[in-house]
This record gives sequence, structure tokens and C-alpha cells, in this order.
Amino acid sequence: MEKEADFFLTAAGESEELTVPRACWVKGRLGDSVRDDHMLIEIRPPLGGQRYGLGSRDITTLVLSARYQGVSLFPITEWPCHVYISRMLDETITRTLVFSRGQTEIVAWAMIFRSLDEANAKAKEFQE
Amino acid sequence: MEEWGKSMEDRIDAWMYAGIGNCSDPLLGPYENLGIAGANIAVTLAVSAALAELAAAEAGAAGMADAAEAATSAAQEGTTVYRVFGGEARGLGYYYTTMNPANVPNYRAAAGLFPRNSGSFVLEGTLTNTNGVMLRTAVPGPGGIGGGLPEVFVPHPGTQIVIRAVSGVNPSF
Repeated sequence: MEKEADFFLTAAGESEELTVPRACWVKGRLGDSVRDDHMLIEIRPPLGGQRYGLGSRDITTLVLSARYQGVSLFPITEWPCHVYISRMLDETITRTLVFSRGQTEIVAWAMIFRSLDEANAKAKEFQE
Repeated sequence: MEEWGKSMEDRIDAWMYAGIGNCSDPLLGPYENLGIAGANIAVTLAVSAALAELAAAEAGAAGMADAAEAATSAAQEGTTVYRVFGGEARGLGYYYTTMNPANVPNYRAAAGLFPRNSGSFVLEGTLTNTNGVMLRTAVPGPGGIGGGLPEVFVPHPGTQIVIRAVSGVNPSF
């Protein structure tokens, strides 16, 4: 049986495509020169890759980083939690688990929620 | 100030009248329909906002963190908030700052704006209701981008912020 999603993400107000909530599964922990608490996640449904120059290749893996001082994703210390969403520009970071500035790109600011209902409620505020 | 006038009031006037009517937002609609220049504009020069902005201006880039902290502690009902938006980022989103973007060097990097936020517009408003509003300091995102600015999360911006001005920015942030 498929594992239930760990949480749900929406970037309502910031990204049209990511307004529709995504189910998220935690896949790992990444670090860079500034902090070591970036979260590697798998999302469903995936993000269309075309608008990011990836052709028909969808984006299924993203990186989340807490946006506010004193907030952690390991463990998640508050709900909803406000995050930067980034996509990987270099997929080798899933093996190295560390990355530098040019290896990711912020795609939106977002909130993560414990339940799909909460994420949907927030998303609907920006859906016509 | 150096860009729009000599005083806070001059700048507010400039924000109110600059660029209005020439652009639109997916959520807000055409700006001329917002009543921005109408009688409902709350030109409330909150003392706390003025102090926060002065603090930010005087601190400059080197003291931005201190200014951010001061601005954060000063924010309350009546506080002036700003949001840089455009592209996929809507006008009345959830995230604002108390610092005038015009006074923040390299605002895009400082705020951690993402490429699909075109940074073409600035909304300036007055916080009229603080229910659920959170004042936080943003930390750097991946690769050290962003962080250091005071941020205001407004859960219901449509009812908690009175828009004072929406201005086009050229060049974009």
C-alpha cells in the first residue's frame, strides 16, 4: 500500500501552476554553504517541465527551505510552514546531498499543510 | 527622498499617482478600477511605519539586518506594507515587507524573489487588521539567496490591507 503523503503544498498567490496543491513525500535532507536543513521532496502531481525549458520531462522532485528565522523542517516546527520552493538545476545533488547557489533555482514561495483540505482551502482563495 | 521627493508625504503622493491606470493584475483587475485614487484611500501615515522606513533608510545596506529588526518590532495596525509582484505573483498575495523596496539595494536578491515574480509592480498598503498576521524575519533560501528582510504574512490580505498605491516599476526589481 502506498505511503500516505507527509504533507501538502500550495503556492497560492505566488505561482499559477503550484496553486493546485501537491502531495509531498520527504526524500532526504540537503545542505549548502549557509544551512543544512533543506528538504528534498517528491511531489504529485508533478510540475510541468515545459515552462522551465525541460520539454516533456516533468518535475517530480523539489527542494523546500524554511523561510523564517527559528523555523525548522527537521522536524517541521509549525503548521502551516512557510517555505521557499526550488527546483534542481543539477540532479547530482540528490546523491551528493550538498549543493551550491547555481545548482538550484527558487520557483515560488509557498505554504505546506498537514492535510489536503487545509491546502485546498488556501488554494481556493486564489482560484477563480 | 532622493527618488520622489523630500519627505515621506511626497513619496506617498508619488506612489499614489505613478503608473496607475496603465496596467492590470489577474486578481486585482485593472488598477483604475481599484478606487486607488478615490475617497477610500486611507492615507494614514502611521508613525510606526515612518519610523521603520526612516530606520531602514538611515541604516543603508550595511545595517539592513538591524533596520529589519526595528521595522519588524514596529509593525502593527496602521503599518505601511509593501509587496513587489508581477508575472505569476499576484498583487494581493500573502507576503509583504515593512521596508520600502526602493530603499533596499538589490531588492530581488535581498527578498529572494523568484524568476516568475517579474518584480514589475509595487503595492503599498496600510495594515488595518492584525488578526493572524505574523511578523517574521526571512532567512536565506537555497544557495544563500534572500534573507534578512522583515516579512509580514497577512492571511486575508483582501480585508486586512487598504491599498494606497500600486505602481509600475521601471526597470523591474
